[in-house]
Amino acid sequence: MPNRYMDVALLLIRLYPRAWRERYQEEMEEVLKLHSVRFVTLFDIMVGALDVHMHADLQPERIYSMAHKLRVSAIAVFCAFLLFALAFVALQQIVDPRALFNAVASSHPDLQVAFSTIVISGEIAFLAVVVVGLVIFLTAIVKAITAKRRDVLARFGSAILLVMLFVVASLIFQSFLYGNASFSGIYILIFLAVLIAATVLIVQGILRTEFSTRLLRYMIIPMAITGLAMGVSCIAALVWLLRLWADDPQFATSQSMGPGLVGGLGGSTGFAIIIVVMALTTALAIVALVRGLRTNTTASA
Amino acid sequence: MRKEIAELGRYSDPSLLILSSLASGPKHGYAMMEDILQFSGTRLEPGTLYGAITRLEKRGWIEPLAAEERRRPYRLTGAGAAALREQLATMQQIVATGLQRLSLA
Repeated sequence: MPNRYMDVALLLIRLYPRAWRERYQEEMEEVLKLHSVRFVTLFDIMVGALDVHMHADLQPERIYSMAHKLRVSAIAVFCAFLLFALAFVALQQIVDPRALFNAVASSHPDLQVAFSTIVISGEIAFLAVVVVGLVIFLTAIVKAITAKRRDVLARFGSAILLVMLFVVASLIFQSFLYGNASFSGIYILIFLAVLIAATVLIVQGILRTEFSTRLLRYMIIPMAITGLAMGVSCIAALVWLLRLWADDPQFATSQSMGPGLVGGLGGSTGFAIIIVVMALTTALAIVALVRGLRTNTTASA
Repeated sequence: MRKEIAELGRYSDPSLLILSSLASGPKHGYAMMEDILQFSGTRLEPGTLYGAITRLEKRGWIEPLAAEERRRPYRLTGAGAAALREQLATMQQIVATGLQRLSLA
């Protein structure tokens, strides 16, 4: 079996339309790996690709693009929420120490209402994204085990291992980290690197998994809840920060909310970045959601 | 039904071979190619195989089963069995007529 023909044959499959490849590429590659690939095989694949391009009705576009679009929408909402959560956590440092904020909030009920709205809607978004994430992740694992997909399992396994290593290392060096504030920056960078790497691995695994369109359509509901809750949390955060600065500028300044780059990213610029990140990630989630809803509506029509 | 098989154009022969192969049970792509080679002596190339599979699946004559690793088996549907039966009956009639006329010649 001449390898040069095999490599070319695998490359030629890319000539087929994307929607067709989403459905048939993997199994065709498996056939090629067992087949005696000859020059005539290459010609046959080229003619086959041309044939599918010329017959639009042969492209499983509607069904498979729909599943793909819904899957990409779910991934986009998930990734947007991860970034949103980082901004959300960073925002919480303003109320640290909590007793001090409670004293301010008791004299300004609007602050308490806005803050509670941020927290409650953030928690709702978190719970909804956990539902979507767990259902999709567990379905992908079960499918990967059933179909013996080593490539998918390796990605999920690596992501889980990476997170576990980080958690274990954090617990081991807990006392050291508490005692050395100068390492907190490095620790945060390592945390972000682990988060990004684990997310990329999981997303790759999800993209290699075939989900039923029905399951993905059900996921639209928690995705919508996530997007809406993120939007409410973002607006409440903006109102809360503006009111906090207007109601009690002394407290705001004491919490590194003074104008300019006071306290590095802890200053007003830092909080502006937090609000911008929350707004952008919310916009991303809503765009992904609308895309998913459109796909869902087209499918139902 | 015969008209529909004729509509498959250059894929009508490979389609008939695939339907005949799946008549003995579900098979994935490579198993079909091997089976077809064994019972008909025809070596299907992957491009032709998947051109025919796409058309047969589209017509509902075969259906995919859950993937096993990266291989996906297919099985013959009721409509596929009916189409195959009708096509084979026509061929049988052609064979009988041809043989009869040859013996007379």
